[in-house]
Amino acid sequence: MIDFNNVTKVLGNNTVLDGMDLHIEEGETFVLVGPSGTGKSVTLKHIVSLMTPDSGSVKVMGEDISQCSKKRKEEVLSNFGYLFQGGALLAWMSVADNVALPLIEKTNMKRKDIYEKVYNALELVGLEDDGDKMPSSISGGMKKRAGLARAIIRDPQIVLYDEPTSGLDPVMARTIDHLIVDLNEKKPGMTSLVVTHDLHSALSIADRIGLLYLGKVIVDLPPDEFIKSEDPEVVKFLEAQYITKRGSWEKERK
Amino acid sequence: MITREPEFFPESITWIGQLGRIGVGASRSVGRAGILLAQTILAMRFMFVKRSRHAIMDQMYVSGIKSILVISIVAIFTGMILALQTGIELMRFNQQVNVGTAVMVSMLREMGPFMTGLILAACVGSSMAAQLGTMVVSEEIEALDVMEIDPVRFLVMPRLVAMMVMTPLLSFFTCMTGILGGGIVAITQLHVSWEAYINNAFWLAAEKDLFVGLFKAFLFGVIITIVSCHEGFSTTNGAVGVGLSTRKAVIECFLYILIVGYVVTRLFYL
Ligand SMILES: Nc1ncnc2c1ncn2[C@@H]1O[C@H](COP(=O)(O)OP(=O)(O)OP(=O)(O)O)[C@@H](O)[C@H]1O
Ligand SMILES: [Mg+2]
Repeated sequence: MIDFNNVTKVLGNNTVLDGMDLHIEEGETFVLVGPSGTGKSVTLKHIVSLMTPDSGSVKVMGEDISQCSKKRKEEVLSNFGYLFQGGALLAWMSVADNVALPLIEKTNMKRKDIYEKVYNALELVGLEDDGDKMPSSISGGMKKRAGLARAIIRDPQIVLYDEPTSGLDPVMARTIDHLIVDLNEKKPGMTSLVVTHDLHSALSIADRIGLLYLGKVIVDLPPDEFIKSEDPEVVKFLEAQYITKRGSWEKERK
Repeated sequence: MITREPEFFPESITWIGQLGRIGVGASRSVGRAGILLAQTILAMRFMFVKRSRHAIMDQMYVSGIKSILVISIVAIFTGMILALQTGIELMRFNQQVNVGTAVMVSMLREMGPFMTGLILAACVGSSMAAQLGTMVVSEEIEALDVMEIDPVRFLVMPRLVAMMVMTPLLSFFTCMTGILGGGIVAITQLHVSWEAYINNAFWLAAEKDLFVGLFKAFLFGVIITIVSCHEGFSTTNGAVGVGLSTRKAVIECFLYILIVGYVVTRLFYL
């Protein structure tokens, strides 16, 4: 579904992606972890061609996204939902209008149906009472959840989540984890790529976990094996979050 | 044209290289603003779609109605200053009745559109650049791209249409308010009666003056929108960058308004 082949990206004099290979299958939930500033957000931006690789190719649904025609690119992009790291809500519209925007602009649905759908989505992320508020008057975590509601409003095939749980309280973080898992179960064939620092959520929602380090995905394993990995970077990562009880991680999804 | 990826250039060492860098940067910027203008004009085909109509109305309110107070004050004083300066000179020849014509012609031809342009550049242009710059910095433009909502159609087109309509209207309003201000000075300082002043003002005023002035204002509206939006879209470097592009937008608008103002006058009056 999403294939990075030997992708290199240099920003300034900083080689962010350095011959990166990554293959995500249809229907899979892939979690990408890694230290801050290693290029996780940059990776996501390559998938929707907000950035183009310096060398190598990024293929989405078998289509080289930075090379194909504008029309084809639109078709591919219409299958995407993207949660930006900061939410990226439009500042002059209320939360509900922000979530409604993709439906208003891209479909011919009736206003009433749109807002019904919007409030359903807001309920999923626990914001049903905050639809009328402006983005400037809600907290960072609420912005992120509103961004999540906007990302999933068009029932996308592929959802890219940039740190969906960072900045949320632990309870809300688990709610969002459940939401991601639920969405995948409700819609078979839905592919998710989650970027996170939160290994608890990574281990409980992932089909596979990849660790991005120095421009490459150096470890790419299912959660049960990831936790047993002897790779020094993985060990460092796990120990920093007090996950030392190796091998007995309960998966949220049964 | 909207640049999405950050651009990097190696430091140049010699001053020739730096000079060249500035030249290339400036022409690139002008070219991109030109492309943005073309794209916006193309996007105008969506002008009458319902959701665009709302956005255009909003922008008309924000850019037009909200600037009226500042514009009125500036216009009144511009008219008063014009009347006073020319009146003092005319008084030497006992010709102060003709102050009406002097105010009217200079307001219609130059000062009306010019003052309107400067004020709109300062109020509206700066806020356009700041708003779009903030959107770039907080990834909102990228979010629009991913949702396949064309930022040019969604953001620039309503602003351009609103300014194309509002700048000439405001310019006309500035002229009339300026004449009023001139009248106040004529009555109180120059001892010209209101009737004499108004008759004199409209006696020599030509339609050409009015239309050339409005045309100028229209051009200024286009310049302010495109320059400010282009600077906003080119923002890099976070909040500091927003401040910088706002400043650049206002300076460039002033510059282009002066140059275009001169060129239009030269074309129509010589
Ligand atoms: N627009 C840009 N201009 C210059 N450098 C950039 C830009 N965007 C990202 N970078 C650089 O690319 C590197 C990776 O950035 P990225 O945002 O992908 O990190 P990240 O892995 O998402 O980190 P975090 O977990 O903190 O979000 C950083 O070193 C950053 O300096
Ligand atoms: Mg990031």
